[in-house]
Amino acid sequence: MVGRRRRTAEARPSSAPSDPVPPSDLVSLSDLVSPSDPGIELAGIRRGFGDTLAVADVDLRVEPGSRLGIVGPSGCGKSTLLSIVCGLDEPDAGRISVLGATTAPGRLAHCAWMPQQDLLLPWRSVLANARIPLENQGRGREEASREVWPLLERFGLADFAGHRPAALSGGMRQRVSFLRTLAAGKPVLLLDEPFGALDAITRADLQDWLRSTLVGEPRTVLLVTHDVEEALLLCDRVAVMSARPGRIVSTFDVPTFDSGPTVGGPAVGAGNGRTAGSVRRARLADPRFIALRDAVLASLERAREPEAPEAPDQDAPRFRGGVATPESVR
Amino acid sequence: MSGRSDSGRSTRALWPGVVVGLVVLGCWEFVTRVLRVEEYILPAPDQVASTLVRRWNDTLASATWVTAKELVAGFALSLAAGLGIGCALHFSAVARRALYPLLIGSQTIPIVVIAPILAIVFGYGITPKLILVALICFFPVVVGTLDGLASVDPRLVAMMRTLHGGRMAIFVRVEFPAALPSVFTGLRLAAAYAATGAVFGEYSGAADGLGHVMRQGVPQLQSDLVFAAIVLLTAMSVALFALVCAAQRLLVPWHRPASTHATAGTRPGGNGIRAGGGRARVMRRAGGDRATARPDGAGNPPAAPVDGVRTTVCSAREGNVR
Repeated sequence: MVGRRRRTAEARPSSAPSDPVPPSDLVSLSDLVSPSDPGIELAGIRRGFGDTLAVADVDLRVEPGSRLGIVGPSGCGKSTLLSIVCGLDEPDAGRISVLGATTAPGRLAHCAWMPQQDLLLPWRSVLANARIPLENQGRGREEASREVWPLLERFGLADFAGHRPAALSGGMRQRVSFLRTLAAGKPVLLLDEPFGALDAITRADLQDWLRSTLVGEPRTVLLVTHDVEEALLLCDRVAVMSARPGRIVSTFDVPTFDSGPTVGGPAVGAGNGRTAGSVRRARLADPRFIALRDAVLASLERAREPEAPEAPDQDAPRFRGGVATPESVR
Repeated sequence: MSGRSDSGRSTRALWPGVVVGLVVLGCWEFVTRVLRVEEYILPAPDQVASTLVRRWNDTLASATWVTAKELVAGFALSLAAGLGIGCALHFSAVARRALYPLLIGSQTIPIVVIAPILAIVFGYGITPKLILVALICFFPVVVGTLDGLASVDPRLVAMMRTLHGGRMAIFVRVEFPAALPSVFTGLRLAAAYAATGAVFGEYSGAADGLGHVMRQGVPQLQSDLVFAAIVLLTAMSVALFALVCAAQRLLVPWHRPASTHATAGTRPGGNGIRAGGGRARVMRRAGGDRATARPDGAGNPPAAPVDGVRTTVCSAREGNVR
């Protein structure tokens, strides 16, 4: 009950235009993404632990409102990178800016972080877990519950509001965790292998679910995964990271594959008749998707050799539909 | 709802203890009768029982009441002191370094020696007994609290920091609840020790109380009375212990000692974050679960010493790292 801080609003440009704020009635999302936002920029990020270099010279740029997936072999420093972006960790060298914030507390104020483990508090019910970010901001329990309730309903969790996390399935726990992350109302979502701990079927379900959820959320997303398909399904750009020391080897733009009337993607949403599963199947079967996946996998394959002479752009298989843009090599 | 099955289970769980108790009592009775042990050396259980009833009104009732007050008040005092000191030490590394040796030192003070001194200073009242009980009991509580707070999953703390959690919010909503099982471990130990402190206090000088009764009874060779007092004291200790266990079930219902839910930090799967004094350490997990589970992990042999370096989070900068 003491020492509550509201440090979110401070660092943000206050000239927030009141643009349309769709589904998340929880926080005013108007200032989450504005055209003038600088997005996320990393330049020459380097981080080592002891004599091990975890991340070396990472340059990245994420446009505001876009979704970037980072794929890489196990232990290549993806998560380290994410916690640096998040402000939970500081790089040894390099510049980093998240919506203009460069200090760790400033970045922390902009970023919400969702790790592989749901990290739900076992002593709190689903509802009480979901409202934690609001309680942390000084809201009372009643008020916080009221505010978070629409999200629970939207995520199909309202019936389980009183359950303890232990009574839920892994997929549902992860959904609660994501809900809690959204409830923090931060403009940047950092997803660290959000579905890595789930079985394949649940993971596929949640990927579809997350895809349709993110469509209505004007947030900047950074997704770390070792699942190439997941990255391609959820993001509009995919960066490949090499084995340790991790660096970005190449990036691929992911075009919108939908050939039906929903070409616009984000604006229209996945709700017109086609089930999420069929969209997914159609996507996965799309030859352009397959070609892109193969290209990413090939790049990943090369990136995995630890000390291979790194010349990622020399024979990167160019992809017909999407634009393969090798970027920030080094 | 589940109350009946619970009580049924606890009744069944009590049986072995009851049986052992009856067997011990039977042997005791048998030995004293068959070997004709003198009453002032070892009274038979039935003699103890009859003395308990006979002397209840004139001596034992008031003595029990006095000792019970000392026990409960002293225990409450040690709970408050232990929690307070534990939390204070958790928040300040300086305080931890300064006070921890002192705390350990306080446990080496021989109670037998200090009890008469306290009686001289504070007289025959309740104060010296409270001090003794608290002195014996607060230490397990401090250690339990400190340990519980220190072993909170650092990922939970990191998660709270990304969810607008300030230092105080993290403590109230995550660290303290997560430390409760460990606090209760300390409390159970304290409950078992409390009676010793009270009796020592009364032994060194008191007007009433079970320790006083024992002190009077021994030179008068009233062994049956002494044993009756011991029985009452034991019953009180067990009751205090049971009270603590009941409180734990009530306040920490999510925690089952065998369950893995409350101990996420010790789960074998993906526990890569360790924070230390603001500087993240590298967790080396040879053959980590992630490396072996992934087909694309071929480039990293599972036994590579650096494989599995995962998220590194500087959390709890002023946190309790020992």
